[in-house]
Amino acid sequence: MGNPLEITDLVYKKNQKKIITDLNLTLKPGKIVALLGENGAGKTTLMRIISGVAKNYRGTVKVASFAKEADRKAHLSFTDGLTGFANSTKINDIVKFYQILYHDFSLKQFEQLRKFMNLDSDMRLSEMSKGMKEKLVIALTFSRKTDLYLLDEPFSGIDAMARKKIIKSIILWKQEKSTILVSDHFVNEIAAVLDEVVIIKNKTVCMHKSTEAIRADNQSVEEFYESFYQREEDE
Amino acid sequence: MEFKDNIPIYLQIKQYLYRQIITGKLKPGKKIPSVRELAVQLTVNVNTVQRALQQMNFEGILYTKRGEGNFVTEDTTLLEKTKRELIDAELDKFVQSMNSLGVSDEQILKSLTEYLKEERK
Amino acid sequence: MTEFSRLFNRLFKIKTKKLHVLLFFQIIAALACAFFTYYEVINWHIRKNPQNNVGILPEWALYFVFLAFFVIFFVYFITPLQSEKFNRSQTWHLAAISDGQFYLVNVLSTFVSFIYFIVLEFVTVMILLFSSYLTDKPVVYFFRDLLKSILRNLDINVFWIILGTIVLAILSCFFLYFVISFFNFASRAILDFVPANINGAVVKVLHIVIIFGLIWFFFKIQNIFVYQVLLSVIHPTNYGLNFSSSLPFAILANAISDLILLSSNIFLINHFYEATEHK
Repeated sequence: MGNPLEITDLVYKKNQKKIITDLNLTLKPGKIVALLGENGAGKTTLMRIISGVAKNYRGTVKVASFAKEADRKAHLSFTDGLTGFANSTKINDIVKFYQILYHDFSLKQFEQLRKFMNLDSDMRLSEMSKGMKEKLVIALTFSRKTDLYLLDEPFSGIDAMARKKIIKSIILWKQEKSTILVSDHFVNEIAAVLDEVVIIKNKTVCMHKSTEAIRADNQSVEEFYESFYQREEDE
Repeated sequence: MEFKDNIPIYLQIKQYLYRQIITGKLKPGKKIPSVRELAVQLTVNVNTVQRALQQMNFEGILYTKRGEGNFVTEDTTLLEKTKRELIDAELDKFVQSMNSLGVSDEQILKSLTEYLKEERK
Repeated sequence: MTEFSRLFNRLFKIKTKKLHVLLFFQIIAALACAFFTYYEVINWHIRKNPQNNVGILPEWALYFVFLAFFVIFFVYFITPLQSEKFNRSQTWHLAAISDGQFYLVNVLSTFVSFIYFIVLEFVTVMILLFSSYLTDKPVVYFFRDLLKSILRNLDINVFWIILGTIVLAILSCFFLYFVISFFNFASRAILDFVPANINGAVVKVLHIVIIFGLIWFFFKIQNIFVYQVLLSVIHPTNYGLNFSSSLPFAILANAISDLILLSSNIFLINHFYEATEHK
């Protein structure tokens, strides 16, 4: 079993505009890694490429050594916005969908996560707040057993309590060998749980460093991250 | 428990556990919470807790029973020493900040005695 | 293949859920129509319509059949449009299956749910007719005569024509599905290549323009392809055969068009067409 994620020389264009250029990134097993960058830096696009949804890119993407899209999708769990469901869909029905679609989905684990997140399984999507929906998405994502978890901005627009729940669930339910890549444009709230940060700037990875190494230089992760964007403003 | 984000967290976890041991919240010879429990309780990364515990094992203040977890040492001299170090570190900080205010060592001693007298009343 | 069948089952269940509701409304609507033909309402009094000489059950069956034409036609056009929603959805595309295979599952489940709906309609008609048959004298005579005339005219040629027509209908059904997907995939793929600095409304208009361009282009090609290329290559007279009907030719032309469309759709969805995370 190779690394959970290996990207080499990735280039992605859309509408004649380069969104990602010459991106290389390797993640080791058992890490929690933040993918940081401004809004529109290409974080979501990168996750969509990794999970085989975005097409027509150059370079290679391997998830747990698998390059074929179908295999990649089997070995990663991506926080999908559940947009493929009608608003009247109940949590129960979504769970059925996940059970049918993914071999590695554990109903037992989902039930634990659901209780931890205080979600009622008879609830419909339309009745849920943004925070509840995000909690559901996280519960579904972590109910699968995969090598790589991709969490796309799980903290955007939700309250502090929901955020704490989600962070705790990451610590509680992460398997030892699996790696989590979590994107955010703001690092403060998750800094303490991170092993590494990956900063995206100018359409590529401009820094990949361990958080404890950053702190060993007496810098906070947030200062470190901001310094990359600061420099640009100064120039 | 809030951590400072510009100091390695494993060091802060160690500090936290030293205090727990010295104040008797974690008793000599008793098992400390598991790595995951500590991670959740402190909202930090499991690997970071692991690193802190490894170092404390190395220092001898904790010892591992295979398959059972980490236990606080019963070596009283080591515990005393750890307490001493912790107190020294605090005093060091105090003296340094006093010095930076322009207070001489003699004055520190005098002020401290007076202060404590006042407080006791 | 297990992924394929699991996905098929799930999609089939979702797609037929609404069809059941539709069937239910059709039955109720037919009953309502039958009721108002059979009875008259005059000054808030209900009485049997004197001009009517058939029972309410055959009336019900008749209206149901009448509505069935519209409903089936409606479903025929609506289901492929619905299935494009699944093609576009990121949620579904994340299933651990290649996109080409997902497209096949989606098309097949749409087709099967359409056939399933026709079977449901047929069964309902049969139930209604059978109950009328049991209760109504004129209906019994009508069916007896109908059966007689069918048996009188039955020969092997008719059988082949019916079979050929069914095959052609199925192929045309797929043709519609494939064409709709093709326009969807191709227009989106083209849109992704258009330079970026244009706003939302312009994109929508442009999308429509591209679709119409594609339609025009497509039928141009289709015409040339079918009438000039295919006709010269595979026309039966080339092989000294003499067919009175053009049915075999139509079937063959349709099958070839279907295959070409299907492969280009699979190519497009595997390499260019991106699912969206938005609703």
